[in-house]
Amino acid sequence: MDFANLVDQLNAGTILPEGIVLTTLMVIVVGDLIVGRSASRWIPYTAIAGLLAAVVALYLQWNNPNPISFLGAFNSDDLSIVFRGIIALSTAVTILMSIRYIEQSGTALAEFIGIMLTATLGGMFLSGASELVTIFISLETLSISSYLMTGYTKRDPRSNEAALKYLLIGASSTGVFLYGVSLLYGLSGGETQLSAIASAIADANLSQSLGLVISLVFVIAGVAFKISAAPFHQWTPDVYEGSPTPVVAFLSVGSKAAGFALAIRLMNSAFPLLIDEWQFVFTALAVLSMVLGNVVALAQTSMKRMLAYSSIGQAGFVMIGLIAGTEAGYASMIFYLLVYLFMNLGAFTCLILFTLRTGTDQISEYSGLYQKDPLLTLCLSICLLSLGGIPPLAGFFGKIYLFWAGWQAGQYGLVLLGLVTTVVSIYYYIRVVRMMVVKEPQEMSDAVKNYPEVQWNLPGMRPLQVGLVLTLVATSLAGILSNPLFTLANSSIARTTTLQPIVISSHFSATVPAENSALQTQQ
Amino acid sequence: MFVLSGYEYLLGFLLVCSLVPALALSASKLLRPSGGGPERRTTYESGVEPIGGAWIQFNIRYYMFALVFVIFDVETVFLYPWAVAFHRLGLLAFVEALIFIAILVVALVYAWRKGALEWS
Amino acid sequence: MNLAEGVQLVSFAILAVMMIGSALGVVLFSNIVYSAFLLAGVFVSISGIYLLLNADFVATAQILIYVGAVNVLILFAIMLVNKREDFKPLPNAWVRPTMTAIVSAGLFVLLSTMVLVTPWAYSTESVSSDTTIVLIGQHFFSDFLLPFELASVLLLMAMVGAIILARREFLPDQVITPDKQQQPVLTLPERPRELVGISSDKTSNLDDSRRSE
Repeated sequence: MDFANLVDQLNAGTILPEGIVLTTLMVIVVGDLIVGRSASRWIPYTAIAGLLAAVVALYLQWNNPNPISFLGAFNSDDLSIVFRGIIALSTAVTILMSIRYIEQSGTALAEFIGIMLTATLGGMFLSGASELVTIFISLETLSISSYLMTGYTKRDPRSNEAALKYLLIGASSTGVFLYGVSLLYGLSGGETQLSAIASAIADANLSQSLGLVISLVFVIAGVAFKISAAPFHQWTPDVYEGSPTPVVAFLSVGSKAAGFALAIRLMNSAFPLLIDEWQFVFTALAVLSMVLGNVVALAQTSMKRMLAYSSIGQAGFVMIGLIAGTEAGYASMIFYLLVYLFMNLGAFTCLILFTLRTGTDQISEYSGLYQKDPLLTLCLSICLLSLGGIPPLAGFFGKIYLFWAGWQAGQYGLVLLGLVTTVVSIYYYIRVVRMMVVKEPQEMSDAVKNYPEVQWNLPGMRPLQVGLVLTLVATSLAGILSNPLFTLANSSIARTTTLQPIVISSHFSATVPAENSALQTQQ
Repeated sequence: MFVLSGYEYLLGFLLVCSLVPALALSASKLLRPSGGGPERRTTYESGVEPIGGAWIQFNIRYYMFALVFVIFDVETVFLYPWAVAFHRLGLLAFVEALIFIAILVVALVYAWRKGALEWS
Repeated sequence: MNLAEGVQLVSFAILAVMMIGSALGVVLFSNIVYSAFLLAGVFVSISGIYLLLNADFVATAQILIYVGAVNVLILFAIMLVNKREDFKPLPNAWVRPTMTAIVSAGLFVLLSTMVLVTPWAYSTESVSSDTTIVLIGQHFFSDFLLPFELASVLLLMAMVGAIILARREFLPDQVITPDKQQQPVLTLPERPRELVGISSDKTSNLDDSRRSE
């Protein structure tokens, strides 16, 4: 058993993008140690370059003929590549907006970016993990980094409160998830590979046992916490309000995308036998999330809290695609997440810019902003309208695709509820837009009256501007030119074997013995 | 199924362990003079008179050390099986363990540079 | 029943009583230091049960990490904030513990029914002649290689994060950045929300005066 043979078996080339991110992380931590505080000038750009390189590496791996690597621990199929791309891109945009914010709050930038890259790494591994231990460790990498970032402004009691709440609720939900996963391990007689678990449970005729149902419920509880679906959403508003805003942006996009990737893979690979049950549970979650998120958002006065509830509602919309369970359903989820990435991050960029200039994020303070800062007003309006789903913008096409896929799959009630709650959501998004645009000069808020002159040459402002324009362009163009994204989402699903229900049974018997024999030769 | 083989030593050790304090206390009970004033009830602090309670507020430095210790403790536990099975694992495992250690050396250097290991 | 099985049964009974007793103590003691010490008792009993399951390495790791490091950390954290506060007993204070007890009992009934009802698929693999540590080592470097390496990144970031959150910050003087930013160091730039009851005029006046300074 020689060296090259073993390396060949591991098929480690599939995690090249993660390798690039890890190398960037190391360069940043070591560079900061060697150079010291002045390193913060180049560190963010190194991180962005590394993340973009990872996206390129992901692109080169598209349609990989041999996606299973690390003896079945990691599956680099096209589905995972799309999700890993979404996570890496969301981090790149988040870093653009975080530079000025972190500098102004007086915290260390290098560590912040290091922790954020670790969270990205965890999310990327989570998107492709197809084995229980890998899933758990990558989930923990993502979660622990998120807890650390949440409490990053450590002198602020709100930040402390947010970190503590997130840590406690997160730790208990991880515990519940782990219990569910351990039941899977026990029911399958000691398997950790997702595909092997499903076939072992089917062989042992345990598909309707109480243990499997409890395991399903517990696993869904863990996943629902990550995607902040109601009723596992209680942490969201407080954490979103108390965390540094770039962290909120990451939590609402990157972390959520990783949660959805986990949901798709886990439900389809490990619970194909309980498909009716998990679709039912997710239907309940989706209904609660859409209603609660969009209705409570109406009453919010703080922008961050409003976006927190709106993100709960958006998670409800995305779940329609998961419940549909068809290829179109999954493709619409990916398409919506791609669009959501730009519009939500755009909204958060605007939020940060306004906060940095005025020191507040109250919705009422936005009134009359149009006269002082037209660019910010334009960008925020476009992003919010897109989140609401106003026609020519990207969010409209994302929602239409989701609802269409749900309708095709026969989820009529869910789609109708989605339409009604969309109308509700348009109300509170438009409220902010109206506040900014329609006010007379004398109705201007104090924050806007004292609005500082728009200066882009302050350190860290330029990347913020780049992020602003980038997300603005992406959000407005992705609607009209949505075809490439559409094709991307569709082809990623079409090539992912685990999502085709008919293929599943034959796929198991073909791959599992091969992996076992590989393991035996290894030992 | 299960046989408690190889744990006879542990059992014997536990027995001896539980005997020692009982023996020590009963021996001193037999040997020492009975009675005595309030002096005898105070805590023995090598001859110095104890001041204040034992439940005082600790210094945060202890916490930093404990924090760093937890992480290196976990690392040790991860590396121990590698060391035991070293001869069977071969070259690839060596390279993989080196990557693991290299990443954690960065952690050590970080803790060092940031002064987490200093008592100041 | 031969001797080995008898010893196993007796040890299990002792460990179970120890574990449940100290776990009850952790929850029921009002003194948090006692709870922390009893938590160590829970960890030790769990480690004993691992031994009964032939998992000697896990048992050692349990003692080494949970008792030796995590529990000590918990104790330090308790002693660090050694504030004795007498809380006023809340009205209807019994409601919460009762609710918790009901929920926990329900969960216990559900899970134990599940354990009894489910026909578990026992692993048919025979116990290898290797010691468990060697087996664990082999798994670490074959099929669990990815989580093993990822764990090192996780540990690195846990260390970095813990240091940055727990270390005493040498705050730079505000003089370095004169009045360009009114925000205190290491806080969020957003102002806290106004509490209900304070009129918005008053606070905005305050803000104005702060800006003009």
